[in-house]
Amino acid sequence: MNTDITASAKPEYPVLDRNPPFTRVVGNFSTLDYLRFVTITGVSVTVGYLSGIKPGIKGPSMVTGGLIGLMGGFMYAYQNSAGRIMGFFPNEDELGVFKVVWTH
Amino acid sequence: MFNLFLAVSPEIFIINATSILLIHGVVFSTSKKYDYPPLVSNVGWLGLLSVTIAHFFWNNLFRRDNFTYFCQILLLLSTAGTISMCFDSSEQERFDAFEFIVLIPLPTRSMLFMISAHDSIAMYLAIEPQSLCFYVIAASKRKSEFSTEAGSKYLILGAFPSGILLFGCSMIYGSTGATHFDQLAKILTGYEITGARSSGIFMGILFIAVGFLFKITAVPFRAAISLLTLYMWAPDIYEGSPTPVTAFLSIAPKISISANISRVSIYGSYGATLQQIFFFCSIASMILGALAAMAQTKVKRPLAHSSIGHVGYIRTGFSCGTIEGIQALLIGLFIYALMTIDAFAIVSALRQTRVKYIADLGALAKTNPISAITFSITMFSYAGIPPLAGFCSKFYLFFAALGCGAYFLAPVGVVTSVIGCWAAGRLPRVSQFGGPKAVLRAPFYYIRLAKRMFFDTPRTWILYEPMDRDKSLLLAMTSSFITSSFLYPSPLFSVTHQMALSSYL
Repeated sequence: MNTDITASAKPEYPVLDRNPPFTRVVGNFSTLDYLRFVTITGVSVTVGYLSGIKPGIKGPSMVTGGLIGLMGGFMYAYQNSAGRIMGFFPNEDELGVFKVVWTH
Repeated sequence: MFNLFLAVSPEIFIINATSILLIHGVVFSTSKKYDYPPLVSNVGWLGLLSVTIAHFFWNNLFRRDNFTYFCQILLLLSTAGTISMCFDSSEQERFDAFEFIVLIPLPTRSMLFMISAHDSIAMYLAIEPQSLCFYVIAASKRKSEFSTEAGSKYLILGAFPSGILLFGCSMIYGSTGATHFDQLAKILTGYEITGARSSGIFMGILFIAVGFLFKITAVPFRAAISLLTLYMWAPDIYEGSPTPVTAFLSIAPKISISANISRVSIYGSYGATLQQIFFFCSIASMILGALAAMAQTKVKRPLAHSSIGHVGYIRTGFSCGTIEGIQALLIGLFIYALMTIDAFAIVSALRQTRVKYIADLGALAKTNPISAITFSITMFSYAGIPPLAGFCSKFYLFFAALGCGAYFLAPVGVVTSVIGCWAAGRLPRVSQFGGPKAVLRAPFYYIRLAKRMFFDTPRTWILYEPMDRDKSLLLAMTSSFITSSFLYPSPLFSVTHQMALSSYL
């Protein structure tokens, strides 16, 4: 089985880690990643609250929307961070950090 | 290894979001504390939110190719359009089952897998959950006999093509030992070069094609197995299902199955026999879709037949086996999705005032002229009248057919488009309307609907309720594209050209 996920799309930027572990990807979240995470979560909480007004379940609906937004926002931020480490996104900021922190 | 799952982030997200929505619906719809609230609109908005967030996961990096990217985005947009149709219609029809909303993202997830499937096992495993969800949502209106009948028919007759498809996959595996499309492409190319023949592979590909054509409601596979009854199952299912479900069934599986069959055709054997089968089914679908719709009296059934006919037009795209054909297929799918969302949004709004028959549309132009104009524009676009978007899609499809040498297919398509506009002259109607005008009032389905709305004397004065905001917004977006796309069509053409090229690389 071909587990090389770069088989179809080659990275266009310097590859810092072909298969970064979970902790490294989360640790590499940038300000923009956190902003995306918070925005998606915030919008989801708002949609959940507003859609819960009519049936009278504002609180629980807000929580459900928040859960969906939390999951979606985290996955989106994770995807962007992993993409930068794996060389699919512009990663100039990571080049400097990785050289300093993860150089053997 | 964990990073491998990044490639299927959208599907994982939709599965998790759907599970959260289901738990939310079950817990709070049965909650005494909140007085057993109706949750259709609440779950609907959260479902729409989930589908919208799923759009963000497309960075076109972990996907197979741009072709997959385009089809999946189109599928998600169609799903979002369908969910937005459900909000008000479920309240008006007193259809309080939030599970219905949850059951729309679930087959969407399966269809996303199906579009990106590159292996026959993955393809089949994606088709089955999609089909199961369709059977259930077709019968979701439990108090309606028609809905139950639609679901039962879909279940019984959907199992048959699934079996045929699986049998075809097993025959190919038995003959080649391969299930991955890349491996099959190498093996089949070797067969072509050496000139060898394998009846097992040929029959397998034939069975797969038949299974797919059945799923896509292609003629002659849309008929019931029994030759004695010979009634068509697809229009019955579309009529019996709730209107947003009919819209979903008309659009979403066509996108996913067209994408998958194109991939199988490109990577698998695209011999002359398979092409001839596809051409025959395209011609038959176009002809029967045009003729069968003429005899209909209900509003939904002509649209169902029209959907079948349009799939015949769209199928000419991948029947050609060229890049232009795939590009025409993508253009056709995009425009077809928008037209169908537009048409069914209006039908859904009309159903709220108990409009079921074409004869009930007589007062629409007088009481709600904007809806009547929008519906007429959509029908003219379906008919392929320039300069609307439907004309552009048919134009490119027929050009692609001519480019690959299918000189018979293009004229048949043009003639069937004209039949959709032209008078059929049904004699029993003469006595009803009387005089020389009877011939002009003879049934024809696209322009007939416009004629009924604007020119006929209403037989029943139905007061049409104003459309809700969600449908109005949806109609505004789709109608504006249908009417104004001819002014600047190049973005769609360049994007689809790029997507078509990627499917061959």
